[in-house]
Amino acid sequence: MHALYLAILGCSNPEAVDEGDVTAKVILPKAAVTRTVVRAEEEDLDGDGEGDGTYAYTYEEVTDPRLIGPVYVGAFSAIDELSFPFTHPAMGPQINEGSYGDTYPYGGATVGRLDFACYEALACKVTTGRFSDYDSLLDHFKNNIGVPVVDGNGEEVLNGETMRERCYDYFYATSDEEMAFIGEERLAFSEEGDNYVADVVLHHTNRIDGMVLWGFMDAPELRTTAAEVALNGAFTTCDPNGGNIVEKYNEAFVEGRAQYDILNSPSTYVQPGDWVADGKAVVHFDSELNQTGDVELNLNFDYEGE
Amino acid sequence: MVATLLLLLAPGCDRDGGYYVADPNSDYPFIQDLGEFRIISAEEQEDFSSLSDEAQAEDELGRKGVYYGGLGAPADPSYYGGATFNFLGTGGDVCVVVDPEAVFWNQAQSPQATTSDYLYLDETRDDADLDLDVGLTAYYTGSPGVEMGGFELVYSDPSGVDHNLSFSECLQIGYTRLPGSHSGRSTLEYCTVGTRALQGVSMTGVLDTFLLPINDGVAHYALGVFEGNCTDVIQPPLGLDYECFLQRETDGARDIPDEQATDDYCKDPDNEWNYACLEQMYCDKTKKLNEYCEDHFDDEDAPCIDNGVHPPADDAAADVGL
Repeated sequence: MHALYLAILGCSNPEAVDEGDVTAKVILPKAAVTRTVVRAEEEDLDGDGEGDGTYAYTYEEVTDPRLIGPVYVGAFSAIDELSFPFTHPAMGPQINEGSYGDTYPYGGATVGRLDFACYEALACKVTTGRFSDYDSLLDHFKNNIGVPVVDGNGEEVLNGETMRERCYDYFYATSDEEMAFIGEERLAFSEEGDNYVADVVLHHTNRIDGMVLWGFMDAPELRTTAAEVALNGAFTTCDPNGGNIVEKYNEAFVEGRAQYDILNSPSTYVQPGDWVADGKAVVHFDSELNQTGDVELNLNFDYEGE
Repeated sequence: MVATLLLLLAPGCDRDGGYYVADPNSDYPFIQDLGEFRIISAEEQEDFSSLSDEAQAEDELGRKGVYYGGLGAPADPSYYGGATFNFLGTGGDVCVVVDPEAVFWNQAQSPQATTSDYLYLDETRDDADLDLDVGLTAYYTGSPGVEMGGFELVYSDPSGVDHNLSFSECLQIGYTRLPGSHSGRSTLEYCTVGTRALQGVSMTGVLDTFLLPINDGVAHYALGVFEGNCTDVIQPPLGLDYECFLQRETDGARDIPDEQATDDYCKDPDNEWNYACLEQMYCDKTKKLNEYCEDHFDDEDAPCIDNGVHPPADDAAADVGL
């Protein structure tokens, strides 16, 4: 009897949902992560065998997938090739003075997202899926970004064990599994010839035949003059004033978070140095709304500014 | 099996919810176009009182000042009701304010902290909720006085997918800092409309009836359009006196007899509480309701509810060694 009753309830809820997962392969040329990086070495000017807090910088061109920032991918109705120096999703009407129209994405996802990695110095500077462990992260900031990670007292964090202890204490965590920003198995991109590639799934996306996948890689700030090195590593898609407000003992800061309208207003965030999709990743569906064919999203346009 | 089905259905048959649906009132329309409103200037706002003849006066073109009205229920509850009104852009900020009956500071919805001494008497059946919206008249989708509408238009993207766009100019930020919010029942709603590029352009205001009082089926309200930004126009001290900006909206009568207004307990001849009178007592700077409750703490007839934090008189006396 109860089974019959439940069955009757179940029959009254027919679903006619045209949302579903859309899959694609994101392709980023190695040129996107071949950059002149800054290496910081603490100086020992007084010769006492210990660093004195000042740094000497050296520069080198490297190719390193840790330089891949968050990759934002959206599904859009069409591509606008005229409004900006890079391809851009088609926009709706301009409603508010001083801003462009909304792109009205059908769905979206990221390959790697912004994350807070335990230290105030790393707010808005860390992407998930880029670092195998704590040491890899610390090495990246010292030898690629040129800004060694420092703790709340301004002391350089010299090894991964110190960072692990800090993270466990900060997040009340007990294992590295809880740290989304590290993990060998979490590395998103793999090397394929002249590219780095990653799979992406856009969940719960409106499946419109002929829609276009578009996206961009938010490259980290990477300046090479000593006076500006401190700005390195930040991402324009991060809101430094948003996210958790932390007040612990002698620390008071904001963790930062991703901006909320990146796919709706991407032109606000695409900056020189970012790599932008070519706008040719068209997605097709059959009559049953199953995706047909493989889709490759090429982020092969190096936007160097107007 | 039949007996089980009957058993399942039985609990659902003892009520139909009709108690919560207001009945139509022939004296009050459920859809109304109020016509044109004048902009109450900054000069007029000095020593402003919504109760004054000057504030309520129409101008030479018949445009309304502060307006007191009421909206009723439709014969068919499935129809949306409300009111529309128009005003012209000034080329600057315009503040549109509506205050639905009754008062928001009462015991049911009180913004009083739990550490306050008193809560105030409430009649939960007399609360109305009107949602305010404003936009360009050209974008309004309703038929004023006939059918309610809004400022949502449809944009069809290049793939033919429709998206609803809001062209509302009335931005109300909620507790979560998200736009598109509305106040709860009885609470003042207002928004600043920027008309910098819209001088002389017709704007339409909308009052959507969200909740009708179930005691009389009429949502009384006070409504006004003011020059300036709402943060400058309303200026409530400590956030509590928003209720006092447009007063006596409760029954729309605005003619509380002097003898009743000065009566200690604000009671109508039929011994019912008069909430317009209580609001006046709350707003009257010389006779604040908190002070009144303080003075009448031991009086069971006073419209004050002990919040449990007021020290008993004896204990208070003991504290000071008396």
